[in-house]
Amino acid sequence: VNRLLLLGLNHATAPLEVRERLAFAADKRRAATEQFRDRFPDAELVVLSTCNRVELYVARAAHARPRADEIAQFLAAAQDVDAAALRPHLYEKTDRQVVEHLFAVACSLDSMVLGETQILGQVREAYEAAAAAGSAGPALHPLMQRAIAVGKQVMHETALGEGRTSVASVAVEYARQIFDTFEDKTVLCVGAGKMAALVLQNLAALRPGRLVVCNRDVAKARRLAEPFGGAAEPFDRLAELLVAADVVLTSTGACEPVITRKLFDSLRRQRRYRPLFLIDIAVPRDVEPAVGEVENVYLYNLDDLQRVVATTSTQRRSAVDAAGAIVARAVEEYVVAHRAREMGPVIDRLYKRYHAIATEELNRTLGKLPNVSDAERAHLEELARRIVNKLLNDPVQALRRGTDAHAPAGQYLHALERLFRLAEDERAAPAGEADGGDPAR
Amino acid sequence: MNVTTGQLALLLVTIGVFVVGGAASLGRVYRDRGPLRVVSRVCLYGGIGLGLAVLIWHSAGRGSWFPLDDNFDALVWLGLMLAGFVAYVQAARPLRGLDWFVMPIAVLLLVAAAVFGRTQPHEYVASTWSVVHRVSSYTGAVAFAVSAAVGVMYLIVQRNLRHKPPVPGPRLGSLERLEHWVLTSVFVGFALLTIGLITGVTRLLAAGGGETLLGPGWAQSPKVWLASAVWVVYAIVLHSPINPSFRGRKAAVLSVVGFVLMVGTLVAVQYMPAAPKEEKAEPQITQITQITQMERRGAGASASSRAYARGTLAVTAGRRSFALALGMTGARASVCSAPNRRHLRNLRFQSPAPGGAA
Repeated sequence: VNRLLLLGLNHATAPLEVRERLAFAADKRRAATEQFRDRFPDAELVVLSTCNRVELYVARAAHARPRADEIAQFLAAAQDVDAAALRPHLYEKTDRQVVEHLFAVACSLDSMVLGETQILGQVREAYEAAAAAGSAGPALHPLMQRAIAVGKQVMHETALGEGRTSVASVAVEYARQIFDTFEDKTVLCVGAGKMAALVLQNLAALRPGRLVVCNRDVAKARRLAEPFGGAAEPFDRLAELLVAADVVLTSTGACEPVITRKLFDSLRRQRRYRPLFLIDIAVPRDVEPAVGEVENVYLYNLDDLQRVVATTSTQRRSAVDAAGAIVARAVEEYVVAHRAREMGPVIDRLYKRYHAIATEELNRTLGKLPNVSDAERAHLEELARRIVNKLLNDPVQALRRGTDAHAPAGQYLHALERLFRLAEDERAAPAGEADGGDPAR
Repeated sequence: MNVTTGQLALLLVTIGVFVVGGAASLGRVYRDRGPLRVVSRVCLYGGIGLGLAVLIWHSAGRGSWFPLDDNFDALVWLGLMLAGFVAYVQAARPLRGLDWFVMPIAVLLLVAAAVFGRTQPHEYVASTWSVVHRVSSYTGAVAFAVSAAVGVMYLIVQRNLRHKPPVPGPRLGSLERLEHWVLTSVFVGFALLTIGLITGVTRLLAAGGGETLLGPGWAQSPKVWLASAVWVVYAIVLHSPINPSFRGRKAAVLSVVGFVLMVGTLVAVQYMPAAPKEEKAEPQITQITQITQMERRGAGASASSRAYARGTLAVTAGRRSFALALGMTGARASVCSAPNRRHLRNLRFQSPAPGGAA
C-alpha cells in the first residue's frame, strides 16, 4: 500500500530569498533525484521547482521511509541550507491532500498570478524529468498524468487561463492581432526607461526583424538594446525611424508629445500607409491622441492596456469556482479509482484466503461424516461459501464505500493486511499451497 | 434529366452536415474544446464528400460530365468550391473563424440549389467561349465570395482593435493575414472575371458582322453596366499596391461592395434581358414572303434569305430571338455576311403576313 507525501514551499510560505536558494536547476534536480534514489530505493520522487515553488512529491509504502523530516533534511542537504531554518517555511501534506494540492497547482489555482499557464508546462517538465530518471513509479505516474490532464481540462473549460495579466503581454497580444509575422517587421522603442525594458523584452520575444532603441542618451539606448540584439539611434533620427517602424513603443519622460499628428501626417506617404502599432506607456503621453485616428494606425496608451489587465483578473477570479469544481471532481474520481486499484488485490486475497480456510474445514468435517450424499455435500459447500461471504461482506463494503479524511484508504488497507495477515499470505503464495498450512491457525 | 428526389435528399443531408459542422465551429467561440474541433472538421470534410456524391449522381443521371451545365449543378459546385477553400486553409494553416464567415455563403448556395436549382440548360450558344466564360465567371465568383467573407472578418478585427473593448472577442486572425487573403482572392477573382467578361463579350459578338446577340442596345444593358461596375470595384482594390492608401480597411470594404454588386449582376443575369426590353410584339410567323421582301432590299440579302429558308422558318419577332433562332440553326455565318442589322430592323417593323405561308 502506497502513501503519498508532499513537502514543499511556495510564494505564500517563503520569501524570495528562501525560494531562490532552494530552486533546482535541471542538472541539480537530476543529481538530487539520483541521490534520493540511492538513499531510498523503494520510494518514488518528483521534484517540482519553479520560481514560485519547490515541492517534493514522494510515494512510498506505508510505514516505510523516508518520513517527512527525512525529506526535509534531504532537501536542506541537497541545497546546502540549514534544515532548522527551512522548517518554518515548509508545508507537509499526505495522501488525499497531496492529490488536491497537486491538481490545484497544475490548474494554476495555487499560483501567484492566478490562471497563469506556465505552471502546467512546469508540472509536465517535472514529471518527464522524473520519468526519465526512473524515479516516478506506479504511484506517481498516474498521479502526475492525471494532474496534467486536469490542468488542461481547466484551461480549456474555464476562463481561468484567459486574458492577459500584464501590460507587456497585452501589448504583445495586440501586436499579434495586427501582424502575422514579425521577421520582416521593425520594432522601435522611443525612450529607454525601466518600463520600456519590460515591454521590449516581451516584444523581442516575437523575434522582430529589426529592433531599434531611440533615445536622447544613446549610451543608455545601447544598454537597453544590446541584450535583445537591437541597435541604438539618437533621438534626432526619430522621423526617419518612424518611417521604417511597424511597432513603436514610447516611454520617454518628455512633457510634450514626441509623436504629433503633424509629424505623423508628414510621414504617411513615405510609410506607404502601412499599419502601425503604437504603444504609448509614457505618462504624460508621448503620442498625440489624434495620431490614433489615422487610418491603419492602432494607438494604445497605458490606460487602454491596464484596463485589459484589470478585466482579466476580474474574469479569472470569477472562474475560480468553476475551476475548483473541476478539481474537486477530479480529486474525488482519482481517489476512488486509486482506492479501487489498491484495494482490489487485497480484497481478492482476503476472499481467497477465507474460502480456502472454509474449504479446508469443510473437508475435515466431511472426512468425519460417513455416507454423505452428493446433494448433501453440495449443500454443505454452499453453506460454507455463504458464511464466508456474509462475514466478509460488511468490512469489504465499508472499505469500498467511504473515504473520510480521518481514515484514509491507505491506513485501512494497511490495517487489513496486518489484521488478516494478508501480506504474509502474499509472500507465501509463490511457494504454493503445498504446505497446506494456514498461517492464521 | 431533372433533379431526382434522391439527389435533393442527399443535398439536404449535405446542407445539414455543413450546418452541424458550423454550429460545432461556432461553439468553439465559447470554449475551444477538442471534440468540437473534431466534429466541425469531420462535418466539413464529410459535407464536401456528400456534395461531390450529389454532383456525380446528378451528372451521371444527366449523362453530361461537364460541370456548370445547369443551375442546380452550378450552385452546388459554387458551394462546394467555397467549402473546399475553407478545408484547404484550415488544413494548411488554420485561420480561426474563417468557416464562420465563408460557410454560411456555401450553405446559402446549396439551399439555393435545392430551392431554385432547375436543370433547364442556359439559353446560350454552345461554343468554347461559352464554356470558358462560365467556368471563369463561376470560379471568379467563388474567389470574390472568399474576399468578401474575409473582408468582413478584417473589418470586425479592425473595429475591435480601434474600439479597444476590455474583453476582446474571439480571435479571427491578424489583420495582416486577413488582408493578404482579401488581396489574393481579389487578384484571382479579378483575373477570372476579366477572362469571363472578355469571353462573354466575345460570345455575344460571335454573331459577327458588327451585330451582337445582345442587340444594338447592349451598351445600355444593366447587366453589362453591373458587370463593368464589379470589374471597376475590384480593379480599385487591386491597385492598392500601386496606391497603398487604398489598402487595409478600404480594400476590405470594397471587396464586400464588389461582392454585393456581383451577386446583383448574377441575379440580373437570371431575371433581366441582356438588352433593354423592346416593345413586345406578338409572336408572329415570319415566312418566305418576308424573305422575298427582304431580298428586294439590297445586296447580300440573298445569302441571308437562303440560310433563312434552309433552316429557320418560324421566327418570333424581336432582334434577340431572331438572332438566337439563327444561331440555333447554324445560319449565323450566312446572315453575318449580310448587312443584317437593317434586315432585322425591317423584320421588326414588318406586319405579320396573315396566313401567308409560302
